[in-house]
Amino acid sequence: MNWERYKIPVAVIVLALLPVFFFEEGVSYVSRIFTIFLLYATLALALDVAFGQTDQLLLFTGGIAGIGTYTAVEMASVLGVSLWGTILVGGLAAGIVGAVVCWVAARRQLNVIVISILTISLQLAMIQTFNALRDITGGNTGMEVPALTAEAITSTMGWEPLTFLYYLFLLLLTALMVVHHYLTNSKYGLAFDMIRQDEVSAASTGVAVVRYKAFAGFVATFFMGLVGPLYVQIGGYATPGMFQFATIDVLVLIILVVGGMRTIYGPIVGAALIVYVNEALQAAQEFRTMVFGAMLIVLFLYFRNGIVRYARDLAVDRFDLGDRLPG
Amino acid sequence: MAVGARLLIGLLVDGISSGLILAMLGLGITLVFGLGGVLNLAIGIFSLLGIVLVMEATGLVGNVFVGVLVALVAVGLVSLAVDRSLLSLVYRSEGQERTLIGIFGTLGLAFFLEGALILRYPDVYSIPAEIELLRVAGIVIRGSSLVSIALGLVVFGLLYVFFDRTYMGQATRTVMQDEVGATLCGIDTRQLRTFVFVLSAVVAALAGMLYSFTGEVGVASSFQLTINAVIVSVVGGVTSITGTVVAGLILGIITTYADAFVGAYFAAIALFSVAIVVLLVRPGEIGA
Amino acid sequence: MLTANGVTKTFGGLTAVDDVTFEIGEQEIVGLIGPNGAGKTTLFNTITGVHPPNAGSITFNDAELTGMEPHQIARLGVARTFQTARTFNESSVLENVVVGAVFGNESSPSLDAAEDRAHDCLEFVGLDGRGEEEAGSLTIADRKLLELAKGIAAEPDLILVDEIGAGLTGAEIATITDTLERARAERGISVFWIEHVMEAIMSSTDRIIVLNQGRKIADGSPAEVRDDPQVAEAYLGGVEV
Repeated sequence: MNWERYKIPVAVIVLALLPVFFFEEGVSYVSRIFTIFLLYATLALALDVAFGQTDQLLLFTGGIAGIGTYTAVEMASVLGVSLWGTILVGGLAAGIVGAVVCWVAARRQLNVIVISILTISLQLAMIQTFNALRDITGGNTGMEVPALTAEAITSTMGWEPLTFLYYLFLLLLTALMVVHHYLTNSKYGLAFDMIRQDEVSAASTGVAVVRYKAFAGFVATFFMGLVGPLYVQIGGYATPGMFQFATIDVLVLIILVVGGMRTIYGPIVGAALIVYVNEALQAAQEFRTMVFGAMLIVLFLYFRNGIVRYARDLAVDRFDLGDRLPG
Repeated sequence: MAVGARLLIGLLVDGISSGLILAMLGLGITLVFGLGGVLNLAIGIFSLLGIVLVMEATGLVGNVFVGVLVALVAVGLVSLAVDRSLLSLVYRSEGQERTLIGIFGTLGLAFFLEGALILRYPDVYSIPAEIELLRVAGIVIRGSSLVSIALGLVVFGLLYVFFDRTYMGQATRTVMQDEVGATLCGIDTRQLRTFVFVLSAVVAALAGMLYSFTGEVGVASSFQLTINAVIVSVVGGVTSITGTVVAGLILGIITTYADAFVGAYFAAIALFSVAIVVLLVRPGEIGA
Repeated sequence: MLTANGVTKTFGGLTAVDDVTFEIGEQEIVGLIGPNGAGKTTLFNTITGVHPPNAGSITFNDAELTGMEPHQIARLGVARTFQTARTFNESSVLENVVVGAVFGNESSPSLDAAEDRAHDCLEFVGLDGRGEEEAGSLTIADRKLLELAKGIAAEPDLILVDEIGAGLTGAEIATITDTLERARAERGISVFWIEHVMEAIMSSTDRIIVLNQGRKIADGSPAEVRDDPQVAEAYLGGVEV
């Protein structure tokens, strides 16, 4: 049986059923964790398009999500429309920033270290800019965000706000999974793979390296930008601190590496694990930073291929399944 | 002298003091990257370690100078341990792999140590230098800045002698220029890397102490220090020792003025923008 | 087909390629030899856009190559192999060739059509049946054949081959030489070939260009080049043979 075709539908169905089994009425704590899980899975899968597929270590996921958020919210307020209408604009703004950065980096043939320092500097500059533009962002103290609601749906389905938000996130994640899958199995995926392995050889074979890298950057940051406005729905407000490197990027990186790069299930499995660990550490909050720090070290030294690929290899060896497993 | 000029000069002194501290941090990044291709993102934590250890040691021993010495030795030992464990593992890989493992390994270390330190030292600290404000020809100069400058100059004087006159120092410069050639001359790069790593950690600890003379520092600002160090190193050209020092001074002065006249946010934005521009226009050795 | 006129490339104070002029015609196999450091690979790099020349022009089928990006030049019909056989080692043998078929020229074949062409090219170089193997697991000789297959899959007019004989046994070199000759005869592809293995160059080329210290010092048939005293001097430094 060819699993490949079914991996996305299976994932969507399983994820769609989670609220049915786990969400309890009035217990927002649980719903919140699951929603955050989807949020991080989406961010990690988006980062995969840039880092996993084309080796562009972008360390400004938080800032990009912030750009998406503030652009969408500001436009909604300026144009006097509901946030629904401007989310895509936010995504576009974020995507353009990502595309430009990746294009310039590819053109100047910047290597991994330079791109990482460059994007981290951009990340920090973005946060400071968010802080400085108090009129738009409310600065340090933050601002309230218009709610994304759909009365018609929530009342018919009898959903709580968080449940609705969960399914909204699931919708976004599904869209990203479809895009990711399409890209991987198309000429884009072929180009990405060769660019990642050997840029010079790829270019000499006729692959327009700069354009493909910029495109990968665009896709990644576009989706990160879309996540932003949804992310801030959880609390109903947004502060620049919510988009910081230590808050977002570190977790997203760990998730992507733990789960496995260049796989669709990887970010989902990784997010499940890390969000669970994060919650388990609630009791021992103080040790959280230490634990994640240690995880980063161990991960990058010994488990760089991630869980999904490790499990796949194990299954292939043990059960001789050949190429038929999804991932 | 006009009020404006007095203010400018006072700020200049602060700027130079801040610049020397930045240069010390940047130097740590430059040395370790130049010798082993590892971007040490844990350098800020060594600064903080220096600060808290000085406090503890001084409390124990009662004497600030002895306290400083003890703290520096302790930081040296910790960094030695890190070199023997984490870095040994990092150095096992080559090229792009080593770069990535180096970045994330040291980042993980930074988080790990930060998490550990903040458990015991959750506040912000400053070393009470109890130095008065000085008034020279009507200019208000912060005594702490002057002390920092004095100590900073001593440190750099020593470093200069080290790099110019000692075997280790010259060997370091040689390896940074041409590793293969240096090995052929019989230089043991691994030992040198260990030495340089420890040196960079100790200098970073010193920088941290000087930093806390002039202001309050908390464990949470360790990452900020690391970023500043990286930016200074990048602007200075990453493998150039003199470049890093000059970059540190310039950036220190620019940010002090920017901070005073344009506000903290824009000063920070300016700093990051300089880094971004330099990276785009002249990635230098780090882009090789 | 390919015309180079007064091509010069300097790196800082060093002139790697010095005012080189030559032509390569249809279905020709032209060798490029010269002592180490003569500028041969640099010349290739100027043609493929990796190191645009400081002076001179290079035209290919009436298109000016200087100033173009490497991938654009590749798509025009100029393929190349590298001294170190830069195959995509994490991918399968088949995928390596598919890349050439998909991106190597102006037409944009579907993945299926590209796969067909790839199979055909693998057969052409003698790697058929090995499409599913990981490229990194191949011997160096096979990886060089794979790189050739990738280049041929792009259906180029010209392939630049850079020291493909290095590290190969006599039999392996013979296979490669045969493949290049068949590429010319059966696919109409011209070959511009840097090589140090003299027997291969002397026996299979129509013409040989000789570079020394960046300058072209000879351009003629293998026999002419072999008897050229300037060539002998360049290699032997004026030592009496």
